[in-house]
Amino acid sequence: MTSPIEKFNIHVPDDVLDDLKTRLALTRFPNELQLSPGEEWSYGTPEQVTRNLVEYWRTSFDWRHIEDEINAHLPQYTAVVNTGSEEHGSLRLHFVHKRSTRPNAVPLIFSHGWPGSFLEVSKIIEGLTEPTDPKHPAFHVVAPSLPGYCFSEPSRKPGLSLKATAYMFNELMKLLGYTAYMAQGGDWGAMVIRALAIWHPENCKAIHSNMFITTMPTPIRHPFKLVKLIGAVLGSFVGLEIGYSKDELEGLKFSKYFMEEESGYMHVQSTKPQTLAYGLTDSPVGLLTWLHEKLRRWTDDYPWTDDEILTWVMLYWINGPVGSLRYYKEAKTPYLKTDERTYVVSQYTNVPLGVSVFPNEVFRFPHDWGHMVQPLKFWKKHEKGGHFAAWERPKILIDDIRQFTEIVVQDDLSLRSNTIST
Amino acid sequence: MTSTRPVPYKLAISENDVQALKSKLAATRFPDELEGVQWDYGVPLADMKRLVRYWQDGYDWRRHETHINETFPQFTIDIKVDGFGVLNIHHVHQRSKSEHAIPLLFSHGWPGHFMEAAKIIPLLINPPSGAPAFHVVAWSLPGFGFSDAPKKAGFNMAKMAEAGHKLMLALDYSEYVVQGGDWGSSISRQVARLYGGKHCKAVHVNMLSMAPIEPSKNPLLWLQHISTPFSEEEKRMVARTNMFRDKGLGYFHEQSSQPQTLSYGLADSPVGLLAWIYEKLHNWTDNYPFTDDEILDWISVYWFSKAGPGASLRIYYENLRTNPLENGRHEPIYSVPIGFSIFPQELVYVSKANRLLVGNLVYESSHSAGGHFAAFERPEDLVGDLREFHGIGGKAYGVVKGLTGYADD
Repeated sequence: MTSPIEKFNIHVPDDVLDDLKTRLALTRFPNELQLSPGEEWSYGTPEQVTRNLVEYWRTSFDWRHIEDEINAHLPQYTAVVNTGSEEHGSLRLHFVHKRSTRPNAVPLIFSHGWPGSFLEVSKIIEGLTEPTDPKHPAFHVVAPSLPGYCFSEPSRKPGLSLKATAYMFNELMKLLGYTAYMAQGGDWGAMVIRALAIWHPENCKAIHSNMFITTMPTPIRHPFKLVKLIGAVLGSFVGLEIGYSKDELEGLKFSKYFMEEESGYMHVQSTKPQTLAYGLTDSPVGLLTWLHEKLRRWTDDYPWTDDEILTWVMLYWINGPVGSLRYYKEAKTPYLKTDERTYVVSQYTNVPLGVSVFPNEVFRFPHDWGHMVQPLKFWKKHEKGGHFAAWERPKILIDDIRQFTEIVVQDDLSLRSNTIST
Repeated sequence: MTSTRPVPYKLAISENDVQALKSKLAATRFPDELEGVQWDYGVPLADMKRLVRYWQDGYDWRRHETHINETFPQFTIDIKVDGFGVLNIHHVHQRSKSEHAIPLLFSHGWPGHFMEAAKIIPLLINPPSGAPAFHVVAWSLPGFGFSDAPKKAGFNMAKMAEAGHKLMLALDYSEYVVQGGDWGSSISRQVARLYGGKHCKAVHVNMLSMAPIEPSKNPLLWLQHISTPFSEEEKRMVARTNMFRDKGLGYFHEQSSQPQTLSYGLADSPVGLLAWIYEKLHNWTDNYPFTDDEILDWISVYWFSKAGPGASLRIYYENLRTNPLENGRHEPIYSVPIGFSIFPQELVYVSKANRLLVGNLVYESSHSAGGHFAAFERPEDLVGDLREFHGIGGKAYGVVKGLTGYADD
């Protein structure tokens, strides 16, 4: 019987790279308004920054070198995995897999989001798999590409969303011999790990999120939280901190602002992703600016290098971004009386939850809302960092994962006892 | 060349630019698509492949360019807009043979352009006997077509109106009427708000954007609104409005928050621009049977536009960021008569009660066919309404001193 797992190395064909260079050379730029200093990003990604990146991309960016580095640092594979649905059948999933040399390592699946990738695991994989301190827990790390992203095959049919993703990821972990594991994620990854906790609690034993997201407290299920929220809002009108702190109220206000003023991409991608895809598949600068804006806005003064930005963009350019854009619309796939996305943010599940809170995250919810959806076992706020925690604050994130793990393995020995010895 | 008098203009896109477009089209890289979803996720791949191939191989921009140049007298003129310096404004200015024709400013919207007026101009300037004649000015809005784009932030509705008004003055039309849909409707109403009575003498629109009725501001009207049952037709139009709000506003959110981010793909990729605009031509019209030539004529204007397609997006940002009171978009207008043509496949339905907040809305006309681009889809209907509104017996008859639209009685 042939093994369904195949070794994978990134190797972008020469003609794709040549074609890219030709496109970059023929870039037709838009103009832009003359904006005051400090306001350069207020209409979106500015021109000069973009021109510089395009020039660097065309002349000096060394993809082969980066490709070699990624292949050397992150052992990658693909496997054909069942989606749990007849519609979608089985799809080839790309993933990083690195086992720890330590006995009793905990299997951990790391799920990226948009516009991230499996690459986000790079800075935490060493610390997780081979901690230098023997007192720290070790992990076997699995980091797949979401279906339709990067090197993971998309479905040909509509409707492949969080439930199917979770099914696939769970199947992958089982295929690798991990019947009890933890999950970590941010952005869509935070939703995927919720889906794992909801639909596969028999295998996914604990989840850690760096983007906690849920819906408003409801009168029937969360009456006290709702009253607390109303009290806090009313109190704020008269300068009092009632129920929730000023900080927490500010966080909610920011979340609201984000949905009103910075969610254009989300509105487009969750309604007309195909229309958007034509330009972003055909134009490297179009794709670059669409993603770069988020890399800049969603991070906390992270000093992106040109190589980092372009590497992230290349991972979307190589096979085109359409699968990733459609993922937003697929999330509205109907489920029970609602849709998958709404179900995933609001459904209660008994799997323990750990949350790391970074100040520049785009959704900012009060601490006790964590209890609305899972038993909250860990909640830590940090002073610096944004949406891409594993990239911006890897040491902090590793620390938090370790602390959370220590809490949960005390309650659940299955996480320690299921590792296979090969 | 700058001038405060209109300078005759002919479109003359360079051969370089025409060839560069074809080269890009030949190298188009397409995404895949899902099976069986038709238009639900956006423009279907087969449509895009067909249009790209034709745009590259068979489509003849020179044909369209020549047709515009030979049919419609075009000009450019410098208009000084307060705070924004001088903007060179491109426009069609076609006068009727009738000396008493009514001067009319036609304002397009997004993703429209000045040639939306192509079918109504010949009808307006040359009516049958008994109907009024018009002189028509169809301009490219600042940032669109072959007009300059503003260089600074803040070019909002009031500035658009100022530019349009000053254009009419510069063409020696001290008194004039206005017509528009989409942003053209908001601009026309803003012209009426700012210059109505003295200069702008009447407004006709084929779309209305209104604030919802607030019970605290208009309690009686709100009660009327919630207690009046909708007809079947109204219910259908409300359902269409809701669907548009749920599924059709992605572009609106992006363009009103990060227009610059979007502009790179639209400027650099013909297929990107084609998809972005063609989706609206398809979704916003009433099954209008666009030919491939019509689609590509339309989108080529955007591709070859003076300030590039990205500049056109800013109208969304500028009008959702600046002071809504200054925009005055929702304030009623009483200074001039207002006419409104209702087309069944328009995107946003405004209820009868809500229309009472428009102001001096004295003419309404409903049609059985037509959508958002009324002048292009249903030119006879729209012109028929303008003739009724402005003609003898109409509510806007004789509003412009000495220019009734008819030869001497």
